[in-house]
Amino acid sequence: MHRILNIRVTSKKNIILMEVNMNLYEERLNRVKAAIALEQVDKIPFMSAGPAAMAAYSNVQLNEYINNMELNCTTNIKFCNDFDMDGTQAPIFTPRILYLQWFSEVVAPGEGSVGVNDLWQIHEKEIMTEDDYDKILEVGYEEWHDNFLIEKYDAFNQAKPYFDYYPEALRRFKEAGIPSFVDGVFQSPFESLCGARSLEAFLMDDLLEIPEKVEKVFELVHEYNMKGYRALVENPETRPIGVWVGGWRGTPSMLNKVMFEKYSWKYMKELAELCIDNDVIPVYHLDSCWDLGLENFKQLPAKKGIVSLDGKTDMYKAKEILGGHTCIMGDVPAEMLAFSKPEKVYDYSMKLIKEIGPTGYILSSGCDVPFNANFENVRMMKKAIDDYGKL
Amino acid sequence: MNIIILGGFLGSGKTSFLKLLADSILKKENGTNKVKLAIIENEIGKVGLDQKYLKSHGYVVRELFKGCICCTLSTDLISCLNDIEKNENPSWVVIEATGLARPDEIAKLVKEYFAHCNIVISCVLIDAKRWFPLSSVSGTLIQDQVKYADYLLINKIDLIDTNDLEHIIKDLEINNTSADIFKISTTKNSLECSEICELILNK
Repeated sequence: MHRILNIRVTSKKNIILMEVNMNLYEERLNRVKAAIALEQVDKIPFMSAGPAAMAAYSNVQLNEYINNMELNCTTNIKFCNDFDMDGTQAPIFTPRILYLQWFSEVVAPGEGSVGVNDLWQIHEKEIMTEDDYDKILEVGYEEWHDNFLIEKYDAFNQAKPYFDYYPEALRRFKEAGIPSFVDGVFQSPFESLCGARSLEAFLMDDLLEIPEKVEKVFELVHEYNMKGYRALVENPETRPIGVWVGGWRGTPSMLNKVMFEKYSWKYMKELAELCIDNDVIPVYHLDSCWDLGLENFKQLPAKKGIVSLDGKTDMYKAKEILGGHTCIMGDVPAEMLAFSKPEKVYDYSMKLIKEIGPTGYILSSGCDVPFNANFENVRMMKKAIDDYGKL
Repeated sequence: MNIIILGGFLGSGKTSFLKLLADSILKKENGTNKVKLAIIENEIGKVGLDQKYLKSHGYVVRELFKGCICCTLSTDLISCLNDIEKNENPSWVVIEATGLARPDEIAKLVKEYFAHCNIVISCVLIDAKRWFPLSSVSGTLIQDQVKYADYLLINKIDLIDTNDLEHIIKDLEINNTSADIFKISTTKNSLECSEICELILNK
């Protein structure tokens, strides 16, 4: 009887805790959504990124972190909780899913020359040959894609533990009161084909020498990708709150304007529109300098997405161009989080809040919080938010 | 520690020039007891390449190929420099930057976050054969790599004619009015390259 009573008491506590966290979940979700809608917020939203830093924060070795999804999730929840984040951009993460994204070789911690607690590496090599373009046109992209990823990387098996655990990770994050704003990566054909061919070959041999053939393949890749993305967002059971729409290699600093529009933006725009049409938040994850591409985002519906910048794009230029149109997120630079004094991070964050915000702004690291971050610096970002709320 | 940042797009000949530069450093520092040179390699798509050669010559070689393909390298670079300073403290460090990096940004990073450097020199290699096609493809990256370099080294000049070479020089001079520009061929005229290396080291 005594035991049963205890269980009942514990259950009641749990129920209360779950209710509190559900309220917190809704509060955080609405805060970020208000920032996206460029509405007044009760406080500046704070978003996390940087899985390796999350492992380092909990003293979890990287090879354990990437191979044990339950531990991975626990570690990430702890990081988000301790820094009172309003959301995550990855409830769990392992570099083993990057095969599916960039089609490049991944060397995980504890493999090859990479130490058990060393950061994973992406080895970009010419794995796909020029002949593969012909194969794609001949057999279709789906068949080529599956064969390539299985034969070269055993990619689906590598990623299986991640995808198997993902629903549970989402449930746990929700139970902890933390919304996940990125539950998928939508990308243009540029990113995966560039990763498979390697940048040099892709730019110099393919885009310059055989552009018509590459463009035909792009269309097939995009059609295949869109089919998968559409199935995901149109089904209420699988529809995510948000996804990344990237932004890694097909950038306006890498490509001239004509090529950027033709080989990258055209597809990114369609991906963003698919998200927006289905009430999914596109988080435009823009690595490197996008100064020359900022205007493009005005072609998309206002107040629907997040432009996430990594410290290379001029935040003030972004505000000048996209202020009143699209929410901006970023961009405390990785090196600042690792090596600067906490006061500097605090001042930088406060300046961003005041000048890029306070509406239409989410404070975040520029891309990832680095593996070797000084976590006092992450705390300073949060302090800037709290202190601004008291002004 | 003196730091040289070796930049330039993929395939511009950075590694070939690095070997000549490394030999020149060894020659220059001959007779000192100090560790002479550490090399930080951060090129995409050529993992471990030439490590054996460089290590066999007694150089300290560190690789930076970490993380996602974007942002975290900057913090690794500073950590790596701190580590080198603590363990080897060489006279010279050469950072072979990724072909996608802007040497001026690396120089800024090093000056701001690494306290132990005396001078920071940036050298950018240009692939003469591919300058025009690459310029036509690229957005701002290629011009930005060139813009703030201390030295611009037009490599593979044996593969182009004089007329094209003059056009390249004009292009470079428009983008960077203060850099010293050298015409080289790392494979055909290593002797001349070595002389240029010495000039850079004696800056």
